[in-house]
Amino acid sequence: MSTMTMKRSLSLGVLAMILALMAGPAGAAAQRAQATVTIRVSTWDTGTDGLKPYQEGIAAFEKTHPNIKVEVESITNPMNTDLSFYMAKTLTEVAAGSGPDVMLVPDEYARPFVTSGQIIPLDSILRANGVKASDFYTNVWNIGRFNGHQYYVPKDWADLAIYYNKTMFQKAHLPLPKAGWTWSDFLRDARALTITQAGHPVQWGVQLPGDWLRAGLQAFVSSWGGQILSPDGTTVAGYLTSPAAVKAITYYLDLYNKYHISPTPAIVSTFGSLDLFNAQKVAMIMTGPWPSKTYESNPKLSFGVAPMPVGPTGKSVTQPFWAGYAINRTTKHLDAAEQFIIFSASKQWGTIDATWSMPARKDVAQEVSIPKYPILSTFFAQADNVVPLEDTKPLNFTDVSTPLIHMIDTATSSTTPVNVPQLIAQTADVIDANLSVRLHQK
Amino acid sequence: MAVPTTTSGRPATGGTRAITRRRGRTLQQQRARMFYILILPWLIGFVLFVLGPMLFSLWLSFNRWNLLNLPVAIGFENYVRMAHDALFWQSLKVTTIYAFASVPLGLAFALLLAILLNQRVRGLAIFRTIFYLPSVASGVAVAVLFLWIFNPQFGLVNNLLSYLGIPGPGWLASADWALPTLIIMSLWSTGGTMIIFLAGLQNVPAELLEAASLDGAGNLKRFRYVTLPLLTPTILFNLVLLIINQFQTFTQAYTMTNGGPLYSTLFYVYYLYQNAFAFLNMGYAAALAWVLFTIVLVLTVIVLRTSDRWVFYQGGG
Repeated sequence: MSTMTMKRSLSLGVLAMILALMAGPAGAAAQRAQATVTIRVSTWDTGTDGLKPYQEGIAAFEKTHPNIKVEVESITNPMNTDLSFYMAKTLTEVAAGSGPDVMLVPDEYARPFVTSGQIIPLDSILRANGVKASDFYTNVWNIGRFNGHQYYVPKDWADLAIYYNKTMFQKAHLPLPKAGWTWSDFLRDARALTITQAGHPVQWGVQLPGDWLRAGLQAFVSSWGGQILSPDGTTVAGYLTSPAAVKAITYYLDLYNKYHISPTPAIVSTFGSLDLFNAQKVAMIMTGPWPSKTYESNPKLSFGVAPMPVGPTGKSVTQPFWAGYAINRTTKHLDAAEQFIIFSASKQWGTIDATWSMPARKDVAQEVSIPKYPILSTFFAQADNVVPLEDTKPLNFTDVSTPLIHMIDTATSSTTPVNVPQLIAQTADVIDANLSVRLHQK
Repeated sequence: MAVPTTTSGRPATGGTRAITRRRGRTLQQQRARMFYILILPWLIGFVLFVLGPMLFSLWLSFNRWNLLNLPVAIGFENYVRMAHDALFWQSLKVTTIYAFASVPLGLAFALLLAILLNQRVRGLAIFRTIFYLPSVASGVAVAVLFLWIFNPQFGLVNNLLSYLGIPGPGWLASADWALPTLIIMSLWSTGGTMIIFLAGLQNVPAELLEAASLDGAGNLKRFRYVTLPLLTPTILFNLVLLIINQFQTFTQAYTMTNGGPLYSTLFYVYYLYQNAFAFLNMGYAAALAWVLFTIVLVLTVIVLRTSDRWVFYQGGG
């Protein structure tokens, strides 16, 4: 081939390649324009089990709304149980302007989405379609409420209870935990069930939540009748540092450092994603309903669920966990997104979704969940003892959570005695500095 | 004597200088044009996916952005903040210690393996595969594996130590041992470095080694005076590559330790990730990224500039 023809065919080749690369997306877009409206719903539920309720629910939705197709975006990271991966991906999409039409938002991110104006208030469409707040558990419904407007429809919720291993309790001749038991009962049981061999624990009485604040520090503070933040979420001084909170946190840290009834957060993290209660290495675990299915399907595990122990205030309280659906302001299919949101508040969706999760609708809980999954009855029974969620008070809860997590980690891995009130006071200063910086940024 | 030309007027010989400017192209210009056309796909990709985002992140580092609102220009505030950020210094310290410990260790270990795999033994190909295989395993799978090996209660290492009567340390659960554990773990992926060393070893001319042994040099002397000097370009290459790589460690912190215990494994890129997606400080994260880039660039330049003091090139250098 002469130089001329070689040059020409090479240039043509490169040109063809570039054109081919550009034609691809254009072709796909043309195809989409001809199909029915498709909306994207993001979630962190995953796997065949986790996504089955979505598939069924969406099938039901698409039958009654034939011109709307729903695509579920399942975003998850199996190594990390926190939702930072989900939020990272969703926020990146939102920032790029290609965010999902309907987003599932976890409770600790509920406030930033509202203050940024990224999601729209739902009051008018909820009212127009007859969705009643009274159908839902009040404390759960109100978590999605900001500045007098409803921004979220709750997907489901959860609260905290204590699973106990019946076999271990019976072997140690201890009475099984039941409603009305106190923290002293809990401590006595946990100490009796912690077994060491050659100075080395081979079984712990309980797996405490460690630096998982909601289930650990916050649960204990609320059990002592305290709070960590002011009502407007601008400071922790006087709240985190109040006598009630200090007493609660001291008690919590003593469980680790004085009584050694639980593996420390550092040790728990070395087990990766292994569930110590399921592996029968701990006699009790303080957590929500999420692992119940795993525990139920473990033939070697005989267990029960007890409500949270009664605190010094004479009451048993528990912390809520929540996720809600919101509509992205930049959605190109507002009508379809609204239809989906309304459907997600319906009894039909609630019934389909009620597979091991706790529906936010009272009727679905009573008629479906409790009869089908008796294990969940303890969790539902605590509905009236749920304290208000503090995570949605400040502009960005990480300003509060990061120093507190560090505080728990430091205190539980310290080899010398910890001056807890001093540690709390120092942490409170750091938190207030963070909160102040964020407030003055606005 | 006139230079014979083709009918098109260009010199028939492959002269590199223009004798005539008809048709506007000399051979060198022609070749240059061909070069650019051929690398055009890569160039487009580089601009779109590397240079473009880099410039965007540079601009971003002078803003404050939480991904939800519009970016707000704040000048050098992010960089000033970095200087006062204790966690920034901690993450820099952790990453630097990790890099300066794992790079020499990795190089030495890879070189040792390469020497072993350069011997004439039976089944050499199988051994080479076996020793290369670990570096191919995915980061997360390896992380889970090592979580178990180093588990303080029930893991392999402490189990073995207990048979010797030694109480094993807390490994990843201990603030003192977590980083050393990760440094040990970094040896798992020396396969790539080893392969490059192997290639370097095979480039050592056999005549030189033979000449040395004829002069009475034993194995160690031969290695020190013949092999090692000839290997220095390869060592330099691996050194630069490893430094750049180890400064960007992320997976272990993200999947195994979450930066703990007590920030003892707070790797720089992990802290960057936290700032970007947990604390929603994209501007600050971008500033962190550029500082890391500058540090690694400076280190690389230092290594390359001082390299001619110890690197010996066969071609005469």
